[in-house]
Amino acid sequence: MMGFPFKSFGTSVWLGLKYFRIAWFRVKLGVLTLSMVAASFTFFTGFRGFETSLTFIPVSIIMAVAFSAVMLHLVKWSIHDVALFKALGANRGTITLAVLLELTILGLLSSALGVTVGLGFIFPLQGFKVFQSAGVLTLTVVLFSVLLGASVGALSVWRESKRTVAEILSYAG
Amino acid sequence: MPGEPVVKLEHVKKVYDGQGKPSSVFEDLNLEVYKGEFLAIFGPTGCGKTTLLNLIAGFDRPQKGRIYVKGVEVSSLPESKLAGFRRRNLGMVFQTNNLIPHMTVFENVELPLVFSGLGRAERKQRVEEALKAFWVSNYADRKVSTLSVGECRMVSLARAMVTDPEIVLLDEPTDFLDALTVDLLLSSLKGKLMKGKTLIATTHRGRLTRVAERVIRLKKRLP
Repeated sequence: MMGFPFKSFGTSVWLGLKYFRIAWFRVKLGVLTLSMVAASFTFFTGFRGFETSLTFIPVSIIMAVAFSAVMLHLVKWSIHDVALFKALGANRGTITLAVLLELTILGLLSSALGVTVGLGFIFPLQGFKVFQSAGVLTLTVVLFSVLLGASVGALSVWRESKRTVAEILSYAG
Repeated sequence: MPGEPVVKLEHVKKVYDGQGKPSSVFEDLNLEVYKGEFLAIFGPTGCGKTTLLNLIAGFDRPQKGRIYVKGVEVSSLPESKLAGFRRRNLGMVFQTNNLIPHMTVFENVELPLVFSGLGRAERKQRVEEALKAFWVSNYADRKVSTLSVGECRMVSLARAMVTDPEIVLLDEPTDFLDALTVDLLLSSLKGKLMKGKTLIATTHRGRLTRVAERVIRLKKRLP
């Protein structure tokens, strides 16, 4: 029994990483939209003095909400897989943790791409000053958005997987 | 059939809520399936064959009545325990196969073993055995999306059997298959790999009923 949680964690990691291939189209769409959101955010916050202005707060909230909405939408697409995994014997914890891992990795990769693109756009306008203006606070908001979005997505899967396989499948069409 | 039944349905009632207009599938269904038996459930489309399998597998719950699988009442088993129970005791072949198209044949068949927490070496050995038993070992590295319907059905069978379950549920296994593949499938169902296993298969065609040991007929309820 002692080994069970570790086995279950290993299964989640295996499944979370496989998810990138299981739902390749979803992953591509996720990377595209999330990186665009992160790039826009970095572009705006990269302007000198933006991080210390009051406008930073609502923009940050929009960023976090956008990440959560995109990840929630991605999860809704994979609800058929959740039913299938349940049917094949996966427990709720394993599936939820796998989704959490997948979304976190997806979010981090997309953010890294988006921030790079955002900095690339603003660099010709601001030069090296961009690294002074878009700093720790911007990266913190990006990281927070990733974790919030991944948690919201995983929570949705946790709630969804409470239902029977037939219910989930009929809901997923 | 001697001995205790491995699957037992007592006074099962199942009603679907069709947008405010309830549609009754079973009013008072009683059924016993014995260990090692090959039971065919025969009936037209919409008579409740898939619903019956879903109830036995614990994919769905009845409004009334009890369903026992190997002595465990699955109709009242919490969702948290159902997954483990299914993993240990049941294999399922879905009507639409439900394979994951972007994964290889090997990975699809490996999935139930991953959920069982088996090590990589043992998984590899068991998947290879299952693929060989259902004549799909040549396709192990191919993506499921590149296979024909018949090949997908064989992969689905291999996935259902890879955990060596005592009870195998097959939902319309001969659907969409050509005559040759049906022969192959039926011979595999009667083969030594299935020996001792309890098979419950649904069908709306006569061929499967000829190889089954017992056939029950479901009638479609008129609205």
